[in-house]
Amino acid sequence: MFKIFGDKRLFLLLLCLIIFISIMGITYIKREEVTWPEKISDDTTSWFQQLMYKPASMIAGFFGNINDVSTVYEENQALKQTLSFYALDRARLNSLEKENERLKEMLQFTQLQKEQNNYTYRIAQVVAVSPDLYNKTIKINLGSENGIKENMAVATEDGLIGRVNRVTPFYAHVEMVTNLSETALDSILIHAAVSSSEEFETYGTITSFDPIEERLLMTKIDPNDPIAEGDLIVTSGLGGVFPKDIIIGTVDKVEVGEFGLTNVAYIKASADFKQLHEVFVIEVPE
Amino acid sequence: MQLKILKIVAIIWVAFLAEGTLTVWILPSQWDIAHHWTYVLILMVALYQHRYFAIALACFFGFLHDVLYYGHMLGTYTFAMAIGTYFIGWFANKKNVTFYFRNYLLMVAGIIFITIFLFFLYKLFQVHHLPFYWAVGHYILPTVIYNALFAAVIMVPFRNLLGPFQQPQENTDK
Repeated sequence: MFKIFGDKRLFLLLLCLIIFISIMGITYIKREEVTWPEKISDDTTSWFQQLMYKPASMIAGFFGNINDVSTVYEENQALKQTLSFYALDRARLNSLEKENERLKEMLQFTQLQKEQNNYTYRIAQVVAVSPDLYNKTIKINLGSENGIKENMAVATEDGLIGRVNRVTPFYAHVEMVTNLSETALDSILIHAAVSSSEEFETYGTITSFDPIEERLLMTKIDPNDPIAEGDLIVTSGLGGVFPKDIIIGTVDKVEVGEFGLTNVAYIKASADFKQLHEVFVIEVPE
Repeated sequence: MQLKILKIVAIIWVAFLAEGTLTVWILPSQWDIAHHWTYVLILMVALYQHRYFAIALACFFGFLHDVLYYGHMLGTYTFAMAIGTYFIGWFANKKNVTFYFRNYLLMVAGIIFITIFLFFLYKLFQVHHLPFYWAVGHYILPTVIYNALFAAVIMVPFRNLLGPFQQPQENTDK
C-alpha cells in the first residue's frame, strides 16, 4: 500500500497548510504599510520586467501599425469629422469656462474649491501585467518617489481602469476594476453616476465585475431615476476615493435588482483592459 | 554542479519575467489564459533533478509572484506551486522508471492540479463566484492546453540542460 505521508511529513504538511491559510487570511484584509523586503524584491524585479515589457510592446506595436495602414484612410475621414465637432465644442467650452470662473470669483470660492476639479494626469508606462486569471493587476513605473499614493485613480484615454493599491519607491501596483467583487474583502466600491442626465442625477455603486458577461455591475440605482441603454456612466466623486467625472463606460442593459427594490445596470467598460502601453494616474490637488 | 544550479535558476528567472511581460504581447489579447511557465520549469527540475531543490524553487518564485502581482492576498501561488511540486515530485519518486512520456503526463497532471487548486483557493476566499463548469470551459481547459504545449516545447531542451537523471539516489519515502 502507498504510504503518502510519513508521520513527520504529515505533521509538517499540516503545519504548512495552517501557516499558508493564515498568511492568506491576514494579508487579505487591508494592509497598512509595505514592508521593506517587499519593496526591495518588488523594485528590483520590476526593473528587469521593464526591460522586457517595453521592447515586446514596441515590436508588437510595429506589427500592429502595419495592420493599421489598410484602415488609415477611413480613420482619417472619421477623425476629421470629429475634429470639426470638437472645434465647435471648444469655443462653447471656453466661454462657459470663463463664465464659470467669473461666477466663482463673485461667490468668493476658496483657492482649494476652485482647483478641486483641476486634476493632473501623470503618464506612466506599464511594466508588467499579472498572468493570473483571478487577480488582475498591472504595474506602472511611477512610485512614491514620484508622489504616487495609494487609492489614486488610474485611467487610460478611454476610461477608468483601476486604482493604485500598493506603492513601492519606484513602482506602483494598480488593481484593475475587473478585480472588483462584492464579497472580496479588499474591494473598494466605485460610486458612479449617469453623466448625461439633465435635471435628475442617477446614482449607483459599481460593486463587481462579471467575467461571464464581461460587464461591470452598477447596483443600488433608485428605480425612479432615469437610466437607459447607452447612457454614459462616470464616477460621481462621492465615494471619497475616486475623483469626479472619470468615464467608466456605457449602460448595456438595466434590470430589477435582487430584492426588487433597486435597479441593477450592466455596464460595458470603455477602457480596454488588455495590452496596455501607458496609463494615466489622476492626481487630485490637495 | 554549482554552475548548473545557477544556470537553472537563471532560466527560471527569465521565464518568470517573461510570464508577465512577453506573454502579453505574443498571444491574442482575447484569450483568458494563465501562464505557468515558471511552474512548468520547476516541475521539470522536480522530475529530472531533485525534488527538494524544486520545492525550494517553487517557494521562492511563488512568493516572488505573490509579492509582484499583489492584488488580493499573499501566499496563494507559493502554496499552490509548492504543493503541486511536492506531489508530482513524490509521485515521480515512487517508481523509478523514467521515460519521456510518463514525465510529460506527470507535468500535465501538475498543471491540471495547479489550475484547479487556484480556482478553488480563490473561491474559498470569495474572490470570485464563478461556477466550476463555466470555469472549466473558459479558464481551466485553455490554460491546461496552453501550458501543456509550452511544456512539450520546452521539455527536451531543458532536460538536456538538466543532465542525467539523479532522482533515485535518495528514496526516503520508505
